[in-house]
Amino acid sequence: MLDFLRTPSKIMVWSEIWQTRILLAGIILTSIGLWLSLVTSPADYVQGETVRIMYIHVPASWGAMMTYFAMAIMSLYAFIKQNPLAHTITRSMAPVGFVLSLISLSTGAIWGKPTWGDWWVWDARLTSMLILCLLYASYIVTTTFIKPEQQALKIASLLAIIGSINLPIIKWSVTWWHTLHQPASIMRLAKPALHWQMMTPLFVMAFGLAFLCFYLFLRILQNHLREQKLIATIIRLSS
Amino acid sequence: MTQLTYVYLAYSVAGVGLLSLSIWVITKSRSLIKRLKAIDQ
Repeated sequence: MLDFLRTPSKIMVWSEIWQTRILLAGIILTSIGLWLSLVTSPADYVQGETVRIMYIHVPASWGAMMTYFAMAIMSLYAFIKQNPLAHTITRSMAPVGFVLSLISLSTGAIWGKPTWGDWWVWDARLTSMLILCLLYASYIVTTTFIKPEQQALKIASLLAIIGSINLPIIKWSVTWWHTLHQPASIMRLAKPALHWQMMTPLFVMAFGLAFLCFYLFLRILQNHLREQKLIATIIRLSS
Repeated sequence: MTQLTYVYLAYSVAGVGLLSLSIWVITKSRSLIKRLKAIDQ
């Protein structure tokens, strides 16, 4: 099933064929999502207009968590199978996840000011999300600055695997502790608490952002593969 | 600040974040392609 992880050239060809379509899908869906979020969706009866921040904050938070989950799975595979391409794929996910976690934290702070009266509180959900952002930063710093590269990838893989413990903490922090952050409205066992007029822009934005982020991930992956090709060519020419 | 100012601020911050990542990715990609072409010649 994971045969494609042995052939970088196949991934390169596949990504070059699909990247434009993925980008187009992302742009179209995000444009529709922005129209629905900022124009047609209703204001909340308690929060007023600020509820519209949800349509960017929640998809970014989902994206940051899902990217880290994918990184942990891929790191585990790379660690067990000693697969260099799986390491490269994981490395390519990290900058996307890092930006998503930054967007989640900053839009959360902007939403918190008019809702809670402060930009930041040391609430369990916010703190665990900050830890996720720091985990992403540590992964990037490890893979960029620690030498030799093989050693760095091993440390980074362990960091991604162990750090995934934080994911259920983020998800259930609002249930386990008394927090200012509201409990889950969509990803829960009971019926979602959101009206369809708010659910539609939320999911359109989530899919739009997912396509845009997948496009960025593919471009970062291509960059890593090109970099490896460049180094291999330089070594071949100099020997 | 009005409620809508907070909304636009949040979307602008998200836009800047995604745009910065895109610019970094595209700039790096162009530089790598240029270097690969130069080495091939």
